[in-house]
Formats: sequence, structure tokens, C-alpha cells
Amino acid sequence: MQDKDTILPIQLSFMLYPTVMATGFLVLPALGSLYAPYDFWMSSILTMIPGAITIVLATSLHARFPGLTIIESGQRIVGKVFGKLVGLLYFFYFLHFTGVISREYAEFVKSSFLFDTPMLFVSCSLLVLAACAVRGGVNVLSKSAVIFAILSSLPLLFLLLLIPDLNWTYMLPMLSQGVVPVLKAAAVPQGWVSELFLMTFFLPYVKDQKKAKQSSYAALGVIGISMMLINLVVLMLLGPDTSNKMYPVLVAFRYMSVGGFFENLEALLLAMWVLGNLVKQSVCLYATVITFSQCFGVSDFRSFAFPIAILAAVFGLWDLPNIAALHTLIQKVSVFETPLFTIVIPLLLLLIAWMTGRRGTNQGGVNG
Amino acid sequence: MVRRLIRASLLVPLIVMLTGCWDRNELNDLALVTALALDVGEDNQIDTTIQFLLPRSQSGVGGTGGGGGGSGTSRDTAVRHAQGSNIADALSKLQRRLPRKLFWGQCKIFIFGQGVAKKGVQESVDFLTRHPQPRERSYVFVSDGRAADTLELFPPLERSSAEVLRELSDMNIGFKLTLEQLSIKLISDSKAFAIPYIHILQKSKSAEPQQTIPYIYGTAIMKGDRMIGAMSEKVMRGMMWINNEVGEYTVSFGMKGSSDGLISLKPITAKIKLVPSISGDKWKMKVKAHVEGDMVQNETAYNPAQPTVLVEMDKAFEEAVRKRIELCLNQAQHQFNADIFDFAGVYHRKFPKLWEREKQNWDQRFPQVEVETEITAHIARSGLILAPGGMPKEEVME
Amino acid sequence: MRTRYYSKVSASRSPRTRREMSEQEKQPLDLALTVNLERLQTVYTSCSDFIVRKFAIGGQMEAAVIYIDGMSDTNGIDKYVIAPLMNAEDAEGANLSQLAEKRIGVSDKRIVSTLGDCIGAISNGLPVLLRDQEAIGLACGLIKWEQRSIEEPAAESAIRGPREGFTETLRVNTSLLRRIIKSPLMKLETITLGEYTQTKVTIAYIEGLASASLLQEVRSRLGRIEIDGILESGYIEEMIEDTPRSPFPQLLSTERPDVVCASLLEGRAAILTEGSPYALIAPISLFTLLQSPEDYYQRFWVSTVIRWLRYFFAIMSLLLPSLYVAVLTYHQEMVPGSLLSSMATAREPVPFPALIEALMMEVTFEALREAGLRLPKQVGAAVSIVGALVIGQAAVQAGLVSAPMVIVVAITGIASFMIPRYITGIAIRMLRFPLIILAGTFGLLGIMMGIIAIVLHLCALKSFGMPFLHTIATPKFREMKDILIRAPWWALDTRPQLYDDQPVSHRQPVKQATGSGQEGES
Repeated sequence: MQDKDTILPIQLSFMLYPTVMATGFLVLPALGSLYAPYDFWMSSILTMIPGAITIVLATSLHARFPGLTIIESGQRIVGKVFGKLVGLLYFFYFLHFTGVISREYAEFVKSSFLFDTPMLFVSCSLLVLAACAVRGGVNVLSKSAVIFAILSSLPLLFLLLLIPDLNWTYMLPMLSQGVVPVLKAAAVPQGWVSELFLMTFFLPYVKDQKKAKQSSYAALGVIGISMMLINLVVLMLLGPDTSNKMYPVLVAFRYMSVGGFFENLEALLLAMWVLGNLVKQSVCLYATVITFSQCFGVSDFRSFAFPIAILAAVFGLWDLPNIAALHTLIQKVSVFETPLFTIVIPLLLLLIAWMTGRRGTNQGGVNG
Repeated sequence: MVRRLIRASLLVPLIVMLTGCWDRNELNDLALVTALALDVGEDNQIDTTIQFLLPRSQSGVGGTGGGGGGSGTSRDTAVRHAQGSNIADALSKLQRRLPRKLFWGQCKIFIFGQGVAKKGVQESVDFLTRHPQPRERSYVFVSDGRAADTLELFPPLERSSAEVLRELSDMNIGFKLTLEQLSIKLISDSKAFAIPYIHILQKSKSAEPQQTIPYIYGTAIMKGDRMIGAMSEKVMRGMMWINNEVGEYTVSFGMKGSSDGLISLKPITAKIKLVPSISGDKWKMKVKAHVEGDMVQNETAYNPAQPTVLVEMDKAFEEAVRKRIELCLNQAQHQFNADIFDFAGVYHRKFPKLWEREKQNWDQRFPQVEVETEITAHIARSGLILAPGGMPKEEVME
Repeated sequence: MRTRYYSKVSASRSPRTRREMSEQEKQPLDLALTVNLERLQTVYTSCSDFIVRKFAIGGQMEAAVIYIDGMSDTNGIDKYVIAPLMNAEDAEGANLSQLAEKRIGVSDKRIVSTLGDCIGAISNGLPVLLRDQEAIGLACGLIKWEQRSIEEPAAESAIRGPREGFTETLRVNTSLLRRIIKSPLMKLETITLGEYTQTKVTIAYIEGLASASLLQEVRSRLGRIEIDGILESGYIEEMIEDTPRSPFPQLLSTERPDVVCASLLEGRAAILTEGSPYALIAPISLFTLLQSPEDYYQRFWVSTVIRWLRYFFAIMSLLLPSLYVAVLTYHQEMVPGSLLSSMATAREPVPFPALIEALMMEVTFEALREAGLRLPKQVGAAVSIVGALVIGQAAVQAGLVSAPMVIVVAITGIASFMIPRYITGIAIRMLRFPLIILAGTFGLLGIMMGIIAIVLHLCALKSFGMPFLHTIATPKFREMKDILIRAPWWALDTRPQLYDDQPVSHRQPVKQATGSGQEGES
């Protein structure tokens, strides 16, 4: 009756969905609207392409090296030294990434809800909980993800309450500037979608690899649909004003009113959104911690959950002096940084493995 | 285990202490703002007036409500005002004159005084949409005269004049505009829009002084962010027709030939379509309307049960609708030169490329847009009786 | 049946007890009756209820019946053991078992051959017959002690369903089970726990339905118990739980035989304890704790709706006061305008912050509930009247609390009573207090933090290896039909898959007798 670490394929999709959607969806319409004010909703379809690529990369890498994460298989592909170097790169990337999302979260909470509460407190409180989840291992992570993902996607249904207030004419004129603005609008969300690559850390625990692939495509599909829904509702509600809002989805929630008494639901949005964020932060933190332990050959990753969580919080706070810097990071840097780690490096590794014909299995068990 | 518990219990007082600070606001320390009025103050400053609820005045608290409080007017609200160089400044000064923290979460009414509206509302809209507390769904109005006056009323029904305005807007009869819609309209293609215009209702004879309500009558016409004039209720109806917002409202019109007596229809359903076309330098707009209504009063001697008569009535109905629309179009195009119908947006959606080139000339172009109306109107049902009620059979005109 | 049961007792006595036993107890009985009696007398020194009745079989052979007063049927001993033996004419030369066959009119009798066996039999109320010149004794099944009759279970009443409840007597309880599940595949393994109490504890399961690893685990966890005494199944529960520090019970305790049988049929194991009317069931999930036996006896639409209502109110009983505090101190805009102003009016005379107000009221409520529970029934009613008056009316009028707070506390109270398992209700009520404090500290965000912590705890929690959030956190759509809804019985054609490595087991589908051709698939 001992604890076996396994993830059901469906749990994998429940983990991946908030990992992509959680932090971003509040600002998603505003970013697209900057480039394609009438057409940005179409960009959601485009973002699915890099998402599909990352799934293919992650699964085929795992098919070649069953039971190994990218960090371990990297060491098999390019040798111990270079492999560890790549792992170190990933560690810093994930650490920074975890920090940034916790900053984004804290920034939203502070600017819209808890104006006087110290930011460090807001960001640390969730990171500590995420670290607790990580300490529980993949079992707790995957189970809690199911519950939190379902709850955190409720706001999308709430958006449908806005239907009476929507003005579909804001969608016109369609593609008046051609497709280039739509491509630009897809730039930022495609980075988020390619975060699906984090599944590489969970694939070793899924029994049925074929189903794992299917459920990650399912997650991708639902992500695409959700993004489109959010974009469409916000576009039809705010029209040309979308690009000027910091959190268009928040405005949409503030705008909701059902029967004159069920209104001002933004606190509900916050509540649900926190849950999605917890999943995202715990998945990212897990990736960071696992990368760290596999890179330095530590067998017990659990004891590193808390220190690395605190480190990530510090990264998030010190790296970004203000919200403008955060926005620049999201709009200009992440667009390239994320695909580098989620598409380019894995692709290179896969190519090298393919050319050198290296394969491998997991001897001596997965680390952790 | 025990040691751990002791350590953990040390955290409890810490957390309880924390509750004292940060973002906690007890309901007893809040002033529930119901409306904000903005006026021009001395030295070109801005004068903010808030209306807030008085929680104590309700009866039933502790059982000591009344005795014989002579005046019949129950005062559930109070107002307070302060001046400042902008809204934020004025409100912070206002806060210093109020022992409770301003709470905007339930403030659903923003009223611009005529003076402020004429100077421009953009700076105010910036504050209202940037600050996290004011709600995007609140209604905005422009008041005839000082906005603060509308808040100093004590309506016989409803607890506050703000509540009156909100209920009136929610009734779906007249024109309404939310803060977010205002913010969108300010950056829309047409650069012109309308804001509901409120007046203070003449108080009835038996009422106490100030015991009356503000009500919506007509619209203020805004161009850019400034008010350039006001439209009467009748003309405003034409605008609502074109914008496809007929609402619950009664249309009355006379029949040709019988000068005495009107026919009234309610409710009206209408489908309006704007069809833009450009031929060379001539911009045309066709307003296609398909209108239906149910008869509620017939003062004429005609019997609507007769198909031939009904056709005549339909024609008269059609004419009435056309007149209203044209009256409004005429005022907007020639008197104000303000595209309150968002024709600009219609052109933009239909001719996006051309619009990009022409948009800066819209101001000159709008008065010259040729508007054609194509209206089909029907009286769908004639109510519960056929021939005019209470009229001897021989007088009914078939 | 009883023979096997007895031998099990001696076979599976826990190691500690056996070690503590003196060597003497392992000794076989002596040939001489006087020696045997002397030994027993020393074991039972200063036991005033220890009775030795000496007599002569057929007027010649020395014999004795040994029993504990009040636990054995003295009438029966006189009538069926002593009288026939004393009058036995043919006693000459016959040994004990021959005599027993001919003369002793008792259905249940067996041979005891060591002193320890003797003591075990006597302590359990079996009178032991010893004869001179024979190294064995005869234990006769003439147990009789005062016991409560079978009554309607007090803590788990149901509108529809059997009205029998367990009693304090283990044998009665097992018979209640056996009366429902007649198949010999239902096994009842008995062990003895508690050094002094020597309490019998029975593990009930159905062979073939309960997984072997579960039984293995149950046996080994029970076997590891070392304790002076077991007075209630709660002792065992606390010692065999996976996570004793958790506020959630990880074993279901019930006093209804039908609940136990339903669980056995689902492949769970039950632990019955002598002296306790509560049986323990393992493994369980959170949803087991939120289900009522009646769910399965009523029409499935009704049960489904009631189940949802119960889930909703379970969440309410956890969250309502904290939501109230959070909304009132952090998110006032969520309250509809007119309601907010009347709330503001109601709160106007209250000097305390909403947090303190809520804590005060909740603590008072808990005190009232506890007071009402422990008092005799007649006084309990008085307590509730006083409580309603004090909390409801006077406190509001005195300006100590606001009326909306009273409503919230009342609804929370009702909500917590909707949870069918009393112990679950208490667990949820306990968690309410930290949540209220969190709500007063960070508003909704604080509540969410609390919920996250609770959910993470539940995710890590296991009941005998089964995830506590079974089927919700590890989604299996086949199982949802008995969680999200209560599917009709003909659709419940698979047994719950309690462990991942267990194969899906199909129930024989029930064929509907309507002749409409609607049949479950097998």
C-alpha cells in the first residue's frame, strides 16, 4: 500500500491548463488589442501552433528517453558537462519565470484589491502554499490541480453573463490591415502556450504515453477555445478601449450585472484566479526544484521546495522595479525567451539525439 | 509534536494582530457614496459633491426611532462638497471633511454639471476609469445647471436622488450611458456622442421644499469631450430610433384627414439597419427601418379592424416615424454637426481602407452625408377592442 | 461457529499479552483437580465474582464448575451441567468427553487443555467443568450477561431504512451482519486487543470483494496496537488512521448494520469492537463521509438532489461566516446596494469589528450546541430556548451583535447539521475558525489561502492507502455516478474501484421487471 507516484492522463491536462492560462488571461486581450484592435481574437487560433510544436517536442523527447525529464535526457544527449550546463540554464530560466509569475500575481492583487498589504506578503503567501504542494510530490500536485483547475476556469463561464452587454459590431472591420497585425497579436500568447513544455517534467509519471499525448492536445484545444472566448467577450464589450485597460478581464467582471443584485463580481474573479495561479506556481516551482535536484544530482528534491520558493519571490521582486518593466518583460523579452527554452533548445537536443542515434531509459528510478 | 504546536500557536496572535491594519475597512467606518457630482468651482477649480447614505436614519434600530418627528421627509442621505484643482485633489480634501472613509463600490451615478461638461470631461473620465473603486457600469449624466443641486433632493419614493436616477435609467425607457460606454465613445470614430441630460422636476404643491426628483429629459450633445448643446426629449427619440434603442415608449401620431385625435402605439419593436454607400465624393446613408407597434389608444373615429383603414393608419405611422428620425438627423447634421449616431463607425466597418484616408475629414463630411430613410411600419395588433371604444356605431368611420 | 471463534481468540492473541502471561498459563492442566483449582484460585485472588462449585459426578468422581458470577447462566449450569452429572449412574470409567456427549445438554461445548485456555474461557463467561483425574476441562457455552436490546441507532436515524442499530455486544453485532449477508464468503476474523480489557475485535469483509492488500494492512495495523484497554472503537480508530493529526476522520464510524453491509459489498472492510456500538469502516473517501445511507433507499432523483443540497451546505458550513466577514470588511461592493445600506444600519450600534463579532457568535454557538448535547433531553430543550433568546433577540437588541450576523451563524449551524456524519460536521466546524481569522486578515484572498491549504491537505490524505479525494482528484468517470449523482441502482453496475491496482468489478446488473427490454449490460 505504498505511495506510487502516478499521474492519470486527464490529471495532466488539468495541470497544463492553468499553467498556461492562469496569470496571463487577465491581460491577454489588452496585449493583442495593441496590434490588432479589431481582429486580435483570431490570434488565439495561431497561438495553438507553437503549442502543438512543444507537445510534439516534449513527447518525442520522452519517447526517446522514457522516464527521463529534459534535464536528465539532456545529460545523456550532449554529455554530462554540457548537459549540466543546459540544466543550469533551465534552472535559472524556471527560477526567474516562477519569480515573474508570482510578481504578476502580487501586482494584480495589490493594484486592484489589497492596496495597503505589502507585496512581499502577497507573493510569498502563495509561493509558500505552492511549495507545500511541491513537497507533496507529483501526487498532491496532480490531485490538487484537478480541483483548482475546475474552480479556476469558472470565471470563463461567468463571462457569458455579459452576453446582453456585448456589441458585435466591434469585431468589424475584419482583417482590414491584413494578417500581419494578427500575427503580432499572437506573439505574446504564443509564448504562454509554449509553456506547455513543462509537461516534460510530468510525462515520466504517466503510464499511458499515448493517452498523455492526447490529453495534452486536449488541454491545448481547451486553452485555444478559452483564449478565444476571453478575447471575443472582451472585444465585444470594450471595443477600441481594450488596449488601454491594464486588466481588461477585470473590467469585464466589474461590468457584469445580473438582475441588478448579482454584480461587482471582481472579488470572485480574484478568488478563482488565485487557485489557477497556485497550480501554475506550483507546477513552475516543481519544474525549478526538479531541475535543480537533477542538475546537481540531489536525490531528495522536497527539502529544496521552500528555499527555492523564497528565492523565486526575491527574483520576482528585485528584478522588476515597476509595472512598466514587468510589461516590457512580458511584451518584449518573454516573447523570445520562452520559445528559446521551450522550443529551440529541446528541438536542438532532439536533433542531436536523432543524429547520434542516442536513446536511453531511466535506470535507477526517476529522481524524486 | 507538542513543541510544534506551541510554536504554531505563537503565530495565532500575530495573525490576529495583523487584522488591525492593511486593507480592512469595517462597515461602520465607511461612508457609502451613492453619487458624485462634478461642477466648476471658484478659480476654475473643480467642485466635487458627494451624496452618501446615512445609516442611522432608518427606523427600527434599537426600537428608538421616532416619537413625533414632525417633518414627513425622511432624510436618508446627506451631501458634502469640496473644491480642488482636479477630482483626486478635491476628493482628498473632501475626505478630510468626512469622519468616515469614502466607499465608492456602490456609487452608480456620476453627474457632470453643465459647466464641467462644457469644459470637457476627458480628465474626469481618466480619474473615474483609472481609480480602482468607481464602477465602470455606473451611469453618467449631464445636468442642466449645477450638478450638486440634483443631489440635494429628497425624493418621496426611493431613498436618494441617486437611486431615482438609477431606477429611471434601468427602466429601459430613455437613453442611458454607462461610464465604460462613455470611455469607449470618447475614442470612437465619430468623436461625438450624447449623454443623458437631467433636469429637476417641478415639485408638487404639497411636497416639502427639496422633496422632488431629478429626471432624464433629452440629451446633452458632446463633441470631442465637450458639450456643445442639448437636444429635447422628442429629438432624442429620433436618435434612439437610429441607434436601434427604441425602448418602452409610446408613439402617438395623427391621421391625415382627421385633424382631431391621435393614435398611440406601445410597445414598439423596430429593426433598424444603416446601409452606407459611397459614390465618388458623395457619401450616402440609407436608414432602413422596420417598425411594428400595438395600439393602446385610438382617439380617431376610424376602425382599425378594417384592413383598408389599417393600411391608412400604417402610412400615418410610417410618416410619424420618418418625421422623428429626420428631425433628429437634421439637428445633428446641421445644427450641431455632431455624429451622435456613429455613422463614422458604420463607414469605417464597411469601407475600412477608404476610412483610414478620410477619417480626418469626417467633421466636414458629416453634414454633407445624404441620409435616405426607408421605413416600413405596421400596426400589429389593435388591443382588446375593435372599433373606437364607447363610440356609437354610426359614428365609426369604416 | 463458536468453536472456531474461540480457537481464533487463543491463536491470535497479541504478542505482548502472550509474553506477559506467566509460564504457568501455558502449562497443561494437571491431573489432580485440587491442583488445577488451586492454580485458578491464585490467578483469581481477590476476585469476589469468581465462583467454584464443587460436586461429585454420579456421587463418586470429584468435579467442579468454575465461572464468573453474572457472566454465565447459573440456571443453565444447574439444570444442564450439574444436575445431569450428579445423577449420572454410568459415570464410572467414562472420560469427560464421553460424559459430555451423554449427559451435558449444552449445544456449545469444547475442550480446554491449558490453564490459559481455562482463564480465557472463564473470563468470557464460559463456565468450565473440571474433573479429577483428567488433564482437560470442558467449557460450556452458557454465557449470559445483561445487555441492551437492539434499538434504533440514536445518532444516525433515517426516515426510510432498517431501524436496527448495533449494541455493545460483539456477538449480537456480528449476528446482525450475518443476518443481512448470509453468504459464507463474509468472513469475520476476531483478535483480542488490550492488555487488561482483552477486548475482542472483529474484522469483517467479504472474500473476493475486499482487496487482499487492504486486509493485510488492516490486520497488520491492528496487530501493532499495544494498549492497556480498549473501551470504544475510537481508541482503535485513532491508532490505525493514516494521518492521526488530520482533522478529518479517515475511518467511517457507524452504528448501522446496513451501512456496514453496504460497505462490505463495496469491497471495504469493517472493524467491530466488543463494547462499542460503533463499527469502523475502511477505506473511505471524503464523499463517503458526506453520504447518508438513506441516499440509497430513496428514489434516485430525490437522492441526487439531496446529495447536492448536502454538498452545498457542507461548503456553506465551512465558508459562510468567513465569507460574511470577508465581504463585510474587504469587499463591501459585492453586497447589493440596498442590502448593504441596511446592513450598515444594522451594524451601526455594534462596537466590535466584524471578525470579533463572528468569532464571538460562533464560539457561543458551539458552546450552546455542546451544552445541549451533553444535557439530559429534557434540559436540552431548555438550553436551546435560552440560546435562541439570548443570541437571537437580546444580543441584537443590546447592540452586541448585528442581526445579519445572527442569521449567518444560524444558517451555518443548520448547514453543519445537514452533514449526516456527526464527526465530519465537527471537523468542518473546527476548520471554520481559522478560516474566519484568515478572512478577517486578508479578505477573500485569505479564505482562498485557507481553502488551498485544506485542499492540499485533503489531496495528501489517505485512508488505508486510498486517496481521500478518490474519484474527484483522480477523475474516473465510471465512479462519478455515485459521487456527483446517485445513479439508479440498475446503473450502478460496477463496484467502486477503491485502489488503482484493483480490477474493475462488475455487479450483476439488475434486470428491470417492466418488460421494456431495458437491461443493464454485464
